[in-house]
Amino acid sequence: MKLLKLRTKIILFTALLLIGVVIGSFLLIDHVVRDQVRGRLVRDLERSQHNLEQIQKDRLRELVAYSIIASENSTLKAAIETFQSERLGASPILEQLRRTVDNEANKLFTVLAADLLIITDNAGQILTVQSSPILPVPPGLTLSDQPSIINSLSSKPADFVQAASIWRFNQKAYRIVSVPILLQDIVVGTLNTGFEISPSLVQAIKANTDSDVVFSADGQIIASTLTPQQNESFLNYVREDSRMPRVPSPSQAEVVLHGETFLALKLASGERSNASFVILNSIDRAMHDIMSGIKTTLIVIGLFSIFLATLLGWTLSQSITKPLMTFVNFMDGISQTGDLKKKFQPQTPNFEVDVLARSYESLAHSLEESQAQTAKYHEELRQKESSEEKLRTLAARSRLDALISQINPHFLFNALNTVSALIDENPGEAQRLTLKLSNIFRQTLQASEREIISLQEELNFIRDYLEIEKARFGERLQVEQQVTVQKAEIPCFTLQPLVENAIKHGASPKIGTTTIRIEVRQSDGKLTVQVSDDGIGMNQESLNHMLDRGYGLKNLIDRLNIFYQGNFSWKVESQFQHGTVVRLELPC
Amino acid sequence: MSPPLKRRAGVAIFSVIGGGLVALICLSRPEHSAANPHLASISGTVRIESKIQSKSLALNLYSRRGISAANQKLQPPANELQNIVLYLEGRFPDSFDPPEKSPVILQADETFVPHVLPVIRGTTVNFPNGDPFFHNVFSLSSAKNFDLGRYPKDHVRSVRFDRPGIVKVFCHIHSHMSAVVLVFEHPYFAGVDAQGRFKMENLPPGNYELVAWHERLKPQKQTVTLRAGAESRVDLVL
Repeated sequence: MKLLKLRTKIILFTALLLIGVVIGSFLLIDHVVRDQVRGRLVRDLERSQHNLEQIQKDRLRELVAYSIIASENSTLKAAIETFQSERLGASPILEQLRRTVDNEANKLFTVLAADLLIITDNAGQILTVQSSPILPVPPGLTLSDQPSIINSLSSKPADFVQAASIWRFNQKAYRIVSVPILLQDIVVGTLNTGFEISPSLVQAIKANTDSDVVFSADGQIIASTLTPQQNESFLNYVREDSRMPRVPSPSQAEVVLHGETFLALKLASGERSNASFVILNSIDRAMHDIMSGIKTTLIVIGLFSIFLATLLGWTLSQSITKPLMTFVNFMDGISQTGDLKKKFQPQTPNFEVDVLARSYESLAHSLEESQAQTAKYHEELRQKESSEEKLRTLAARSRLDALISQINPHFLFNALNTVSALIDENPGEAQRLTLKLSNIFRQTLQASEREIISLQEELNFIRDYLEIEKARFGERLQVEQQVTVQKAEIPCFTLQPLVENAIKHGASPKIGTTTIRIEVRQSDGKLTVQVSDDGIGMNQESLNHMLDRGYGLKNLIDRLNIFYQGNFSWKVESQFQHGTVVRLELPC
Repeated sequence: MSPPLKRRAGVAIFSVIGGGLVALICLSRPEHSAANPHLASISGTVRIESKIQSKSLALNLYSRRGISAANQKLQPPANELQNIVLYLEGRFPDSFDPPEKSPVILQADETFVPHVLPVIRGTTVNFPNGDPFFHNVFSLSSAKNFDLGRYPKDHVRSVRFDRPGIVKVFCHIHSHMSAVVLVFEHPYFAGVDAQGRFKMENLPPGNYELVAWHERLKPQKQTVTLRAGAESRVDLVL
């Protein structure tokens, strides 16, 4: 059912269109939202950065303050100072002094609640390390390369917070601040306190800021809230280094970690440059959070729209297909009954179908007219075909008759007898007659292929024919010919039957000489062909039945009738014992 | 008198007393046997050219910790020359008695005055508290390990130094305070005046090493040959 297909098409098309619109809107919204989300994430990141840097600063400042207070420990100072003074002497008190330093450091470590506490001498050599758990620090390890310690030892008037170090030891990283241990303005050592940059710390930061945090140093992840795979990709960024924002980070950069897009920002931290503290906000996650809601809404709207479109399409197509179906049914009826005059009466008026019906009616009208014309034409054609057919039949028959007549055994027998008789008496004549006979047969055969020939050809043929007859009849047959027409065309075998009849029915039965006279003349647009003889002639009765008797004349009349379509006349006059005149008047 | 003024006056008094004592210690001994023609003497100058390692420059935020802000500006820049001690190193056949009068290290303005005190073995050093608050004196050094406990103003506690060596002295209450007592076997040592001049007299003739010592600097040694009745001239650079 093509009409149902149309309906399906309408619904399908609308549905596809709507799906396209929904998808398009989704993509558009996605694009717009992504921009906005990005903007918001940038602000979030900057806020996180600010907060973190502030927290970090506060924490470090706090540590510095507490460390300064802690560094004012007289026992510690005395122990350090004495230790350094006694060191060269290898005195037995050194071990005791070291224990004192350890004890004091341990007390401070407990009080400060730090993750790490290191005391160095005034050369940066480690005197004691307090940590939890205890770090296996090898003896002789120096921290003199740490910026904070360098700063403390030189007692530069610098900000202790800014000089904070990242101390990496044993797969761990500590943020340390260093303050000088002063004895009457003399730096006798440094007190370094720090907290570990631990997984729990970065988790806490994430919980506070909602940002992912990665802390890496020397191409290693120290602490991270990302997945292990993302950490791996992150390291690639750090290694390549070109795509990561540098310190200080004026702006954020987009990074793709294991297929997830993040906005990353490196915190200014003031430590060695191979350590980086990066906070990241996942664009994808934020997008997903927002877009999942929008997606659901859009899908609901889309489904509802498709339902509405289906309903609308159905109704709309129904308003077209229903009248169309009526019209189709009407046409079906027409095709069955063939009644073109029947008018279409729609149940429900519909503009388009109405137009269609009007067009159909106009078409039906034209069809009807052309049908009538065709019928007429066919009739004419049929008539024409039948007359032509008749003509052809007659012509064929005439040729056949002529052939039969010429090959008439009598004619042939007589002709051959004549030739035979002449062979001895007059061989030349016999030869001539044989040629004539041959001509006659050839002519007859050729003529069967043509309907019309020139008058001259016909006369030539007659002459040949008469030659043979004259040879048979001898002096009994005289031929006169009076032809005043130079050029004319006549149906073939027009003269022959007349001449044959004159010989057969006029000359043959008569005792004595018979003269056959052939006249052809032209006047008033007519060609008059007359064959007369002074033979035995016919009485009235014979004349009346003349057409019934021999085929020859009737055949000729029929042929001419068809050929000229009745536009000719013929006349036969005959008087018994006096002869017969046959006259044809043909149009030329 | 308002308390700051009173305190300032106190500081001034003790400074004078302290200065006087130092002068007494440094100069009294040569005077004591100035005329002995069998003895030799050294005079000369000491300069500090090395940077005193870890010497705190004026820390903008944390300097002068433990001292009230009002007193900070009164603290004169320390003259490190006065913390230099010159002494002879060598073999001395005699044994020496400690001085009859005990030298003093005064605790004033949360500072031990003098900062460096050279003494002969067996000397008892008095540690009077000149500040209107408690002080403590203790040491962890191997040469003398002691803790005098806490005591208030005008109280004096003493320590006898029986073994030669460097004794670092601290205060438990005021952790920035420190002093050094240098305990020698002999009395052949001297301080330096503010211009870096020194004079050592009544020295036994012989070959010795003259050592210039400073708490934070590498000691400088110079061989000297002392002749009786003659004065050797030595200039040292630390």
